[in-house]
Amino acid sequence: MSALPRQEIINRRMPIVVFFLATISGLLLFAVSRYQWLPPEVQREFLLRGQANVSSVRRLPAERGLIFDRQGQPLAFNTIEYEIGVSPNLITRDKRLDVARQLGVILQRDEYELLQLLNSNTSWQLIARPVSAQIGQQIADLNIFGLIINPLSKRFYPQGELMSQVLGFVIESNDNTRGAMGVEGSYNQTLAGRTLQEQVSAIPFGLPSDTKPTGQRGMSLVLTIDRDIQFWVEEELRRALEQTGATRGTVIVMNPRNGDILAMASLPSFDPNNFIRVSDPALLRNPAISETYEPGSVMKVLTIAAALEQGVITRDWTYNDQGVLTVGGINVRNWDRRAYGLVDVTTLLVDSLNVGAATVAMSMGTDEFYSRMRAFGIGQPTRVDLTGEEAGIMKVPGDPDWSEANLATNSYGQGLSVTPLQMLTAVNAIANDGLMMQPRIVYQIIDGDKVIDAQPSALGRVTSKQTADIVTEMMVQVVEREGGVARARVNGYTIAGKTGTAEIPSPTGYETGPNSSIVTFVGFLPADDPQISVLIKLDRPNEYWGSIVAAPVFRQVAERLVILLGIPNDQTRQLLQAEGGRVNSGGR
Amino acid sequence: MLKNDAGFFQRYDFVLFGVTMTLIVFGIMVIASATQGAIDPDLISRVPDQINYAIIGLIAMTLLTFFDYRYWMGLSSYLYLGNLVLLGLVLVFGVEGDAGAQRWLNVGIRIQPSEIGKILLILTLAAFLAERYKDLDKFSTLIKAAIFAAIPMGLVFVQPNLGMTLVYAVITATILWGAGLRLKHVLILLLIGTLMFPLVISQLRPYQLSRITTFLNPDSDPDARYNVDQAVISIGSGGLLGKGYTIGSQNAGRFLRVRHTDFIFSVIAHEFGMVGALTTMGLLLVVIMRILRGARHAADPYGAMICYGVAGMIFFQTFTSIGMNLRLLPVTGLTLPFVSSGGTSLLFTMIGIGLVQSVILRRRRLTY
Repeated sequence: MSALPRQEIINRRMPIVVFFLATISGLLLFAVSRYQWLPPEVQREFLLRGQANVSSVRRLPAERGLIFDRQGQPLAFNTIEYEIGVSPNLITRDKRLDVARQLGVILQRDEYELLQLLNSNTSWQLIARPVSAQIGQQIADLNIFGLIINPLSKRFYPQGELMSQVLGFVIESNDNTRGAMGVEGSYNQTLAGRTLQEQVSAIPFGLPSDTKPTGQRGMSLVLTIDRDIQFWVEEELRRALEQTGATRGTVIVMNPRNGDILAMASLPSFDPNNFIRVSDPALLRNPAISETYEPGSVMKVLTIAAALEQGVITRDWTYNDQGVLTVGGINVRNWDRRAYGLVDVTTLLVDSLNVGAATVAMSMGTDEFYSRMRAFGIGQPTRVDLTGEEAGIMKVPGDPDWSEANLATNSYGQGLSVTPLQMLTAVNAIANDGLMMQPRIVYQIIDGDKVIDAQPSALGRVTSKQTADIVTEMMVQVVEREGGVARARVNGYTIAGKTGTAEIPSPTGYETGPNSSIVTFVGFLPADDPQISVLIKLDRPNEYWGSIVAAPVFRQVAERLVILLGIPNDQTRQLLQAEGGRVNSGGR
Repeated sequence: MLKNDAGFFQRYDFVLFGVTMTLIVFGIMVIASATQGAIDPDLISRVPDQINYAIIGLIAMTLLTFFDYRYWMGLSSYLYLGNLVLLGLVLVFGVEGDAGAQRWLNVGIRIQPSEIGKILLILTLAAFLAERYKDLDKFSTLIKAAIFAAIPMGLVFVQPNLGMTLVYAVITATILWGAGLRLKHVLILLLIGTLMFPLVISQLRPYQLSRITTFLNPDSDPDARYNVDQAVISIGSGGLLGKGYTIGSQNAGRFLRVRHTDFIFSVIAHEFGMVGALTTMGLLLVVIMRILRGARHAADPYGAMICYGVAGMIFFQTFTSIGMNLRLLPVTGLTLPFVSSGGTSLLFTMIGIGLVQSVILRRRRLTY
């Protein structure tokens, strides 16, 4: 091989080649190194974008606490429903029709509609939400790659409509699941637990951070409610509505000794599993605490107790009933417009004489009357641990539309309003020797292994024991005396009680005509050692008077209760006491 | 076998061999990282495939080292014909790869004839010019050489494979340059190439055009931009020393696509940092410099032109692959020599090194 000159050319060109190579290499080296000397904010941006790829923050809601009745029966717990989604790009085109067909069978939906969802051009497409656990499992069993099945927590109320207004319900949403109304509302914080924010790896097929956070689960509640009592109370109430023609009704059963609410029933109610379908939002409220009414003659119990305690009357006090009393420009009359002549306090209560109540209130004076009514909790919320409680209205001297006539009408329960729970709480004070207990719905709070007992608390002493005993004796006479409320009597037990019949206020005065009253009966038993107290309230029954309509309902409820709670009759108790035994109060 | 007096150990380029093997082993490591946890059978087989091809490549490289490269000159016309047949077969029986381009032949295993064609082009074009060495100053020789190279180039272009066509063009250009062509002729050829450019553009497929428009105007196609964006994020977040082997989030998290081939440089920069990236680039530069050294000391023009061709091929692929990762160049789908996953590419790049070693073993006696 010759041609060295050409070889020379090649060799002379070599520096050009090297120069060219060095230039290009220098350029690339610079381009790579450049990343090391970027401005800090650009470097941060790179790191952030890298991290955003890798992880995201996910909210981990805690499992909501459960709700039990005082016997440990479940009232609310959590079940799983499923959300079915799909990653269309993970299912090959030729398989989609087959997948749509299989899904269509299980979901009972049109397969071409599903096929369109499978053909959508997104990385994730919702197919169905929510579906039941059973359907979710069937779809999971198909084992189709690309289908994404996410569990959703669903609050479930196994008792259905039972005590729905007491329990409330849970509004489930992705980022703000919360309890509303009832215990779910008032104890939402306790039940919900803590929602954790977790850094989640976005790396597909990466190992999930398996650390299940501890101590964030919501606490569980044990209610003072007894499911069995609640059930029978609702049954009796339902029957009462049918028999009396009343449109609505409320029954509360309490233990006056400690304020426990054993049953709180109102009809009509709703199914908390399906609260969304409730047409009238007013149905979601709990009438026992949210609706006020004029209490009527039940109020006389408080008036007499207050007057006795104040000392303006005694057990033997009498007055001359002339059938009418003019106060502040209005005429107070008795329910039957009769004049009863010389009557004592007991007769005043038994015959429910408005003139007598007004006379007593007048002798108390406005200051004493209203401060003692306030002590009974009239016009203020009881602060029971349920959401949506109303305070009721009691106008007092100094309010613009108060007049002296109010003093008279208030004494027999007109011109003021209370909630059923307020009224029962006040009467409970008489049953509990004058000590008024805070009504309560939660018996225990369960936090993991810890059980926290809710302690009963007193709202205050409203009368002495002697006064309470005297009033109780009078209330026994209301039921037991010849001509009393015979319909409320329970065979073998001494009942203390009082009826109330109130008119329904309307913009033009009080409603008249049929079905225009609210009848109530408040009572407790056994009268000498009260263990349960009951309030019956029926709206707009066909008959007008509480003694006729509400008292029999009380009897039916009470007859159930003494059996359910195992309260021995008077005779048995006397025998037991003679032997030195004693019956514990405080429910089952 | 060896004509020269000095022994094998004085002549064989151990630096070239060592650096090449280092790059190949490193490449297998990075491919393993890039395909970790894969469920796609194609990806799972990438590492064993690369190892198998590396072993076959090592054998082929060694055989070619001892086989006198000058015998290839006599086989030149068969090699050229064989090249055209192979490239023609792709057009008829080709298997579709990414983006609908017919690049592969399925003969039990999938081979990419355009990768084989690179080496065949180098051998045949070098022989073509060496035979006409005395007439190199004639313009007619240049035109003949251009047509000689244009036929296989055209077959690759209609596959279509724009990136590989450019590699062929660069190989042709470097061999012509290395042959010692007149500067005037080189400039004329350059001018013709420039005038051809609009014709080439008009023949491009939509996906090829989109790569160029995406490069020129990155916002035009967010989906196409994604790959390059992720590459830049990977390099930018790699830092000085990198995120660590197999634990780089951009790689392990699969945000980089085609990370075992096109974007393997991003994986290196992400997991081994700037130090790793510069080392890789440095090693590739050493390879190119050693091949050019071989060209300088080649015993004859044929050997020199083979070296130039191989150097041009490796240089161009390195430059475009890294430039693409750095968003300096459009996406071409070319592999990073020795490092990227791709059996045929690795095998024939190693065969190229074997040819260069054969030239180096038979170099002129050096006069110091």
